[in-house]
Amino acid sequence: MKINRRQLLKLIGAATFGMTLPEELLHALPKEGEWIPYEEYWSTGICLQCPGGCGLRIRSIMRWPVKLEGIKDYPINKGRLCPKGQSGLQVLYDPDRVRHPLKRKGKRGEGNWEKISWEEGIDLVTQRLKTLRQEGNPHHLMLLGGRYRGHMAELMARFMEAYGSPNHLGNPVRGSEGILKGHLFTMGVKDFLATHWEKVNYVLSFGTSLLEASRPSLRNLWGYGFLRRGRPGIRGKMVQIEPRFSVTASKADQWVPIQPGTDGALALGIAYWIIQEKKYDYPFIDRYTFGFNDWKDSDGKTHMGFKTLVLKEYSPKQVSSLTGVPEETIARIAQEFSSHLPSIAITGRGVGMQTNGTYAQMAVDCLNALVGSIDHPGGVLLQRKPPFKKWPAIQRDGIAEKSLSKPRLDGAGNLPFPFADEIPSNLLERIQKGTSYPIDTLLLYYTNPLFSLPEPETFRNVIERIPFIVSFSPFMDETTMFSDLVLPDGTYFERWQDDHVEPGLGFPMFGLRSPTLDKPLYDTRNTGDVIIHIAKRIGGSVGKSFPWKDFQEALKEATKGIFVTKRGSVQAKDFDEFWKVLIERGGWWDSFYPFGEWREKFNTPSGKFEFYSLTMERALKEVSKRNRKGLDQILKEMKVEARGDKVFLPHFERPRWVGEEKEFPFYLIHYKLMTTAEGRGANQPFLQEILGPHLKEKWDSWVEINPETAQKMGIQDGDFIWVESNTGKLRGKARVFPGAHPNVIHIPYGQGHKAYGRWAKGRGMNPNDILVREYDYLGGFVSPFSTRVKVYKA
Amino acid sequence: MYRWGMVIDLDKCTGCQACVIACRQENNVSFAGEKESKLGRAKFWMNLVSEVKGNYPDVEMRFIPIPCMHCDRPPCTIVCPVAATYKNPEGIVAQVYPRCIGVRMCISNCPYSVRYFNWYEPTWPEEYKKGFNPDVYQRRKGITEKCNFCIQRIRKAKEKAKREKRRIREGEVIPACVETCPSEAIYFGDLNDSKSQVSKLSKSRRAFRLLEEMGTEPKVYYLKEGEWNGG
Amino acid sequence: MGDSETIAQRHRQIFAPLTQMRWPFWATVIPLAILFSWSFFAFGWQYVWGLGVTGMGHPMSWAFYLVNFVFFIGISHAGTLISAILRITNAGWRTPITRAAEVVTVFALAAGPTNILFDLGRSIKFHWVAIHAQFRSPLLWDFTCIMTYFVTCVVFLYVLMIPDIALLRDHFPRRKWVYQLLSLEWRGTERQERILKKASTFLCIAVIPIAVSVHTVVSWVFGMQTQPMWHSTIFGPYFVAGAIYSGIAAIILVAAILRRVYHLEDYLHPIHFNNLGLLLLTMSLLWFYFTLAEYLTTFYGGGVDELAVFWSKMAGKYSPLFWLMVLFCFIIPFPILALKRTRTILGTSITSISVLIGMWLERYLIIIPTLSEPRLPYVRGAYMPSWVEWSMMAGLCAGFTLAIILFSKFFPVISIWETEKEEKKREIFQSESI
Ligand SMILES: Nc1nc2c(c(=O)[nH]1)N[C@H]1C(S)=C(S)[C@@H](COP(=O)(O)OP(=O)(O)OC[C@H]3O[C@@H](n4cnc5c(=O)[nH]c(N)nc54)[C@H](O)[C@@H]3O)O[C@H]1N2
Ligand SMILES: Nc1nc2c(c(=O)[nH]1)N[C@H]1C(S)=C(S)[C@@H](COP(=O)(O)OP(=O)(O)OC[C@H]3O[C@@H](n4cnc5c(=O)[nH]c(N)nc54)[C@H](O)[C@@H]3O)O[C@H]1N2
Ligand code: SF4
Ligand code: SF4
Ligand code: SF4
Ligand code: SF4
Ligand code: SF4
Ligand SMILES: [Mo]
Repeated sequence: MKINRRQLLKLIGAATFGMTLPEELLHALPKEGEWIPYEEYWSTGICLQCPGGCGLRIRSIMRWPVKLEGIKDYPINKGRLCPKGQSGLQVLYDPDRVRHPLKRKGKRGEGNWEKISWEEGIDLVTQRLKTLRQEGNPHHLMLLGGRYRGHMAELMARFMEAYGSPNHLGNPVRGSEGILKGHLFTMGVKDFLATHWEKVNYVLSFGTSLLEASRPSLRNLWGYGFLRRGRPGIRGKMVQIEPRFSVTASKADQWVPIQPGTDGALALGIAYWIIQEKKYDYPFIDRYTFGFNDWKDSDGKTHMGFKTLVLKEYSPKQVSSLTGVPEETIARIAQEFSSHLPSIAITGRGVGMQTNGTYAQMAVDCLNALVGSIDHPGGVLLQRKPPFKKWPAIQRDGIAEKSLSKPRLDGAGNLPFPFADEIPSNLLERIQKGTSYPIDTLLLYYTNPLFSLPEPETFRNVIERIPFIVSFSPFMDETTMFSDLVLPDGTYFERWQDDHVEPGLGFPMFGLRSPTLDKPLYDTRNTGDVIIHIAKRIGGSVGKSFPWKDFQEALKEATKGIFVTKRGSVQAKDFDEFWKVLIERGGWWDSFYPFGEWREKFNTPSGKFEFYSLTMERALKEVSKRNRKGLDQILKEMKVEARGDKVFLPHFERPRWVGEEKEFPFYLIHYKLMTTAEGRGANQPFLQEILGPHLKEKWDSWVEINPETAQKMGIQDGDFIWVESNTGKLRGKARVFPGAHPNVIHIPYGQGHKAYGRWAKGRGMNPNDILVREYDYLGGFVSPFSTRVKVYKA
Repeated sequence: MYRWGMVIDLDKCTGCQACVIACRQENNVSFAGEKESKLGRAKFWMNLVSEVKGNYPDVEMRFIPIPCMHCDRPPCTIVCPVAATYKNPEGIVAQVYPRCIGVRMCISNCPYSVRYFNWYEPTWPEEYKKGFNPDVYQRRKGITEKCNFCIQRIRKAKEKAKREKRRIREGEVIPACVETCPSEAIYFGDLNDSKSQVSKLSKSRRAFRLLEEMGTEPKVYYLKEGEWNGG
Repeated sequence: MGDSETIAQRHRQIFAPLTQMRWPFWATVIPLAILFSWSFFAFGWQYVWGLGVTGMGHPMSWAFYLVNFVFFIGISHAGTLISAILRITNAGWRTPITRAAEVVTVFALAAGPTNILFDLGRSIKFHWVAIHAQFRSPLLWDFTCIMTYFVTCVVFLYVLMIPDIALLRDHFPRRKWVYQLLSLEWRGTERQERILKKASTFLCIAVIPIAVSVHTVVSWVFGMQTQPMWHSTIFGPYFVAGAIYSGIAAIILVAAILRRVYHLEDYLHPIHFNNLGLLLLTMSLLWFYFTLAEYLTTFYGGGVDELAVFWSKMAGKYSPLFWLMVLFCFIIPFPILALKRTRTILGTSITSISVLIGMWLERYLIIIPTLSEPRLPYVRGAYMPSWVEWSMMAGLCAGFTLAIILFSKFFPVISIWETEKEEKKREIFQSESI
């Protein structure tokens, strides 16, 4: 049945205005037989309002999507969606989307654009990139990518490599690097860990925002419900350690307030009790871990083990004075954690992204190892990957080879950030110090540094020095405002894209996003296609690295690897059939998870879980050799306080807060709201209207302050106050909140946009604006939890 | 005869508000905007209400999702001078939009404050209108609206069951809020069917209803461990 | 009864307003008319944009309009009721004030329910209340009672004015066509007199229960609801007493103004105000009693929800208004009225103003705080009337005043035939006593 758009409107008209009869239920369908039938169809997609990767069932009437539900059997969300997922259509239908390619007309940032055609836009980029290559300067191209999903990350990396630039800053886990670095140093894994909610009995959360953010959000929301009442007769327990009384804390069985930045110490204090009381999993530790006890190296030198260190330095008494957590509480948690098995300890950004985040994360990982909860039913799981087929090798010509060997502009990989994958916050200093070469062209994909980086103003200084900026964003965000050319991507309803799922299940799975509409709502193009197109236009080895017609074809090739294994949820005779079913199901997964593959999965020098990180030791020695500097010198540059064996063991480093306590008496801690994700969400009125339910806040942002603190300062609920740090100040509405730590000012993330459409713009404040840039050098990231502030009435 | 009812498990609910948005998208409930929201004019057929009490570190925070209770003895219907709201034979307290003249007596007499008035003509950006659910009546200014247990979904299920000459099965009718709840905290079904999940849960030890003492006989049950003293 | 000329001559003062229209008249009427018309604009504004232009919201879904509704219905209470009671009890002093009282009633009754019209989301569908009537709704009872009361009062006023209209018909040839029509061929024959007497007696008796029922039912609009501090059995008598209280105050005020403006000193003597003042005094005590009873019982046995509302009035955000109300309704009126020395025309007028303000506040305090503290502890509201609501209220008061002024330009504000009768009676009495 073909009904065109006009008729559709007629139909809505009929269903809404055409009735005068009073008795019948007029709010519902017209009476049977009386209503004009409409064409309804359901398709699948993958949500991208946050990195959760939930499967979508999309209800469309005629052409238009009208409602989103979850895919019933999709493992990550089991047919459910969170509020952001539900409001997804407001992304698609956002009236302020970029509807066609734009070229800057006026001054930068002025918002004066000229509509151009795709041909013209692509021409502009290609010409520029070709010239750069001809001049032998492909390394003057920088790509800043953010929320990469699925093969988009590989595609972009491939492009940069084939083109010949080392300046690919594309870290999809920007903002949680510390967690990954911790896992890397203890287990040698490069993924987040999954939680086996189906079996876990005791969840010890070090500031994981399980019910508001975390990853993957929906899986954790479900997990909470399941922990509570999913298994007849078994009622799991959840303990939330956090300075602030968050929604998660309120829903947990126990909330443990803690001094900010001291979680590592607490974890070690808990370890102390477990070791002292010999409640650890001896067989696991014996067979699958390294460095628990003191050990001798090949030279016969004795090294300190985890046990020795913990027993020496982290008695409950010592820990209690550091963390503010009473000794009895530490002992009780330790006792419960080691007896209510399976139990797990998990973290979030509030722990892993501190200046001591890497060590804190290592300490928490060690708790899991102590009770044998890794890769074990009810424990944390090591993510398995789908068996994608590898794309053909990247072709590099001489130009590429040469420029790829140039040092990166952001300094990642060099001292003092030897282990960083990227470090965009460091660009300004590097440029100011006078790096060897300038940036000529910047490509921006799915990231908005002018909003999401701490102290974004510094990034503006970087941007101002770049002659040509291309943004692929479908939205006029802060950074896109500063670009010279916009080549708009479609929204996640309008493109082909695969979507890896943030580790949440352990077993391999991926989602497939296919266009819901027969053609994009506006004149937009999938950035994947555009990149392939540009590569081909550049030609040579660059073009040859992209042997596909478009991104869909590239995806098909990758999924062939899965097709041939004939396992998991989608199996078919031929590939066309496979692809079709894949689209219908919204993805593929193989729910078999082989527990206990420690030997295969711990990718460390010892092949074991490392209490004593040989991974780190080797890497640091390597750095020392490369830089011809002594270890101690390197540690000094990396601002690591410990020396000797302790460096390689999880230990407590004092967090570095910026701002003198006298002048700036409060810690500034931000947190994420369920209703927004990273820089996104504020452009959706549905989400604005339910923003912060705990304080009944909508359409605005606020500063949480402890009632007693507020009283002392004469601040009343609703007063406007200034929050000032070393780098700037923000004016905001004070909300007196008993859940606020007395020494902390809490500001939620989500608002404070200076662009991003009519609903987001000019509303509330963005705590990033006053964050200082202090680093965890070991982890190689900027810590957003290192700022001290003062507050006073506005 | 069916008797539709809902159970919300507060031990599972995370206060995420997915139900709130799902309901809005399903039922074409417009957003109010900043100014109107501050006047309390935002419409939430499903409303997550909260309460914070105590002093650091003894703080208490509570969330309750509140749809219309579909009272068996609804105080709202009897006061309507034009019978624009009434209890249908299946127990749903329905609202006949075209008949409502907007006196709002039903609103002031609903002890649960779950009826919402259209203070202005509901407005949407042109683009959003593409996403309207055609099964749901478009309201206008000056009338009252509220949760109707997604009656359009019930009706669809009923038509299907009728075509197939059978009763609606357990789990066949799923309101939008129930369908989306990430922690599976909301249940919906036929209270007359003693085998249905809702009727079993409604008899659970943990079950209670809001303002039970008022004798309104709500058909929305809540589950909560221990003493509930949140009113 | 003498011919119209002599009567007109004798009651020059009563007749004067019907002919004279000097600048003070225009100086009053024009601003009032402007204000009145402004409210039409305001209403139009509201009609076009929706009730959103008011300050109401969720859960404060009823506010100013309802307050004014109850207030004016209250005012309407005293007039005809008092007039009827005084007639039945044959209180001789009543004659010069009954007409004014009845007029106040009729116009207040017109003003009151208009507020409901303002308050409707879809005012254009007002008649649906009649067409689709659902009699379980207290609003319907209200509608019925008020309509009955209104019709009765208009008839009451009219019937008792027929002899006067006849007089006017004979006196003002130029306006003859109106008066002719309205006078129903009144010639003052014995039969007509008899019918009049019968009709008025019947109306007097009928109007009392209707009046009582009206305000009782108005109270039930709230009393039948389940909201804290509304759901109370005392509301019926409480509302009736309050209504009469404010009604008498309105009568005193109108009478005092008419006396002053139209120089009716010969008719309206301090004794009238003294007597009305005594009535007011009684009502103030009654009001105090009811208020005490209402609040004390709430305080004593009230549940959490009732107490929340209670305390918001006693000590919370509504307490300034509450204590102002007590001041205006009791603390000011009571001593002034209790002392004979201050129960003067000025004294009672001041008291009346105070009582009117106080009673308006009372209505406000019955409606607003309850809605702002509903039973579930989660939804909270605040209310601030918007310019539209203020305009509508101003327009309503202007319209009300305007109506009385215009009435006084077409009909005598003091019943002439009754005054004549009184005088005759007095003459007979005097001659007999001699
Ligand atoms: N709704 C929503 N979901 C999301 C996202 C989102 O933006 N919104 N983003 C996604 C992404 S990219 C990420 S990285 C994850 C992040 O998910 P999480 O890391 O779980 O969440 P955050 O809110 O960033 O974490 C900050 C929390 O740490 C607490 N905290 C701060 N300092 C300390 C401390 O010293 N000790 C302890 N114990 N706690 C502390 C804060 O109170 C706050 O609750 O969420 C993902 N999911
Ligand atoms: N204020 C604030 N700052 C934060 C956070 C926060 O929650 N709030 N979270 C922190 C964390 S944990 C992280 S991971 C980082 C993330 O920070 P970023 O990587 O900068 O991610 P977002 O802020 O979400 O920005 C994504 C941008 O991509 C664009 N975009 C949206 N949809 C599409 C699309 O379909 N295609 C394309 N090509 N572009 C699209 C939008 O313009 C949007 O501005 O931010 C960190 N900083
Ligand atoms: S958790 Fe993330 S991916 Fe899942 S529905 Fe919510 S926003 Fe979408
Ligand atoms: S969707 Fe479920 S968990 Fe979320 S607020 Fe609603 S009832 Fe609670
Ligand atoms: S909850 Fe309110 S609106 Fe719903 S049936 Fe009960 S009284 Fe009526
Ligand atoms: S607002 Fe509508 S449904 Fe409610 S009482 Fe008035 S007419 Fe009835
Ligand atoms: S049952 Fe339907 S109408 Fe009622 S709250 Fe849930 S989604 Fe909304
Ligand atoms: Mo992140």
